[in-house]
Amino acid sequence: MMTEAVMATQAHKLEVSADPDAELVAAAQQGDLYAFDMLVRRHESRIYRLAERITGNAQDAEDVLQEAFLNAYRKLYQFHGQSHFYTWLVRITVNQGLMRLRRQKRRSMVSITGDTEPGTNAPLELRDARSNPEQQFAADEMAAVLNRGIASLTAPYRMVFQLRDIEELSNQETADILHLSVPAVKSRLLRARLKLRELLAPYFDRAPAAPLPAHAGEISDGDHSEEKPAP
Amino acid sequence: MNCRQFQLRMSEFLDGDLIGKPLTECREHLRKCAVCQRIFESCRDTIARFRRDAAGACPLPAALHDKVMHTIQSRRNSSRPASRP
Ligand SMILES: [Zn+2]
Repeated sequence: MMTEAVMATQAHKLEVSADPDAELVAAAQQGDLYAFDMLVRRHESRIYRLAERITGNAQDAEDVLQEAFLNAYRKLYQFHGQSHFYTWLVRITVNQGLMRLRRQKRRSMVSITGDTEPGTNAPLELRDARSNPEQQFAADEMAAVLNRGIASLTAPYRMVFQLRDIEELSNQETADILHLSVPAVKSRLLRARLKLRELLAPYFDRAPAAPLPAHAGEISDGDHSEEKPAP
Repeated sequence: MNCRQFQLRMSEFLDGDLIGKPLTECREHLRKCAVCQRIFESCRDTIARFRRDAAGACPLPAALHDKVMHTIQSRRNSSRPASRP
């Protein structure tokens, strides 16, 4: 679908190393279930986390995880290495997750195409399915802070941030998956980053002692360039 | 370049997507504006923390993995990956 011009401008980004999953994928495509099992093992925790971020709860995340891998298995013959296997898996997971959200329609922010302000949601409840003492994730306060932060973004911003900054997909890949234009991805990403920064900076070590100006997180109208940089 | 203009460009600047004049102007603004410097650094920090958090995702419970594989196995006959429908 991409024009040559687009591909050329993205060349430096797509110049990725060979897919580390290529061998396992090839074996799985020959019907080797053990190879597919290895692929699942390799990616399941990140895919689970992604599903949890989309659906906002652990039970739905489990279901989406299952459906996503089952779907990936069924469609494996359609995968020809156009992207990394993981990126392909992300695409399937996002589709499953969004389909589920639409079906349920039990939350008000299911639209990923709407253009509401970021961070105006009531925060999603992100229950941690794995909250037992053996697992450090639950105990990790920073992880909880990050979860709350991203969950408080509305879906359009949450999804773009998740795909671009966490899954590290390109603007074009993100645009394709979410059926958005690249400029729309960029503009949402900017707002999501600013909003998250505003929400999370107080928790970080390097957080400024003084509060940021009231417009922080919004695009500022003022010009502070007269101020001297901190020494 | 003023603060508003810098912040509108900040994402692309952060991603290394700027070249030429916009890039020079962003660098210049960042050098003399402490407010945008702070916003820029904490933004970069925010992204880095999310990435570290994702990279450190702990393994799923074995039971959940088994459940996934069981579902696949049980429907395997109707869903062989190597064969086209
Ligand atoms: Zn500034």
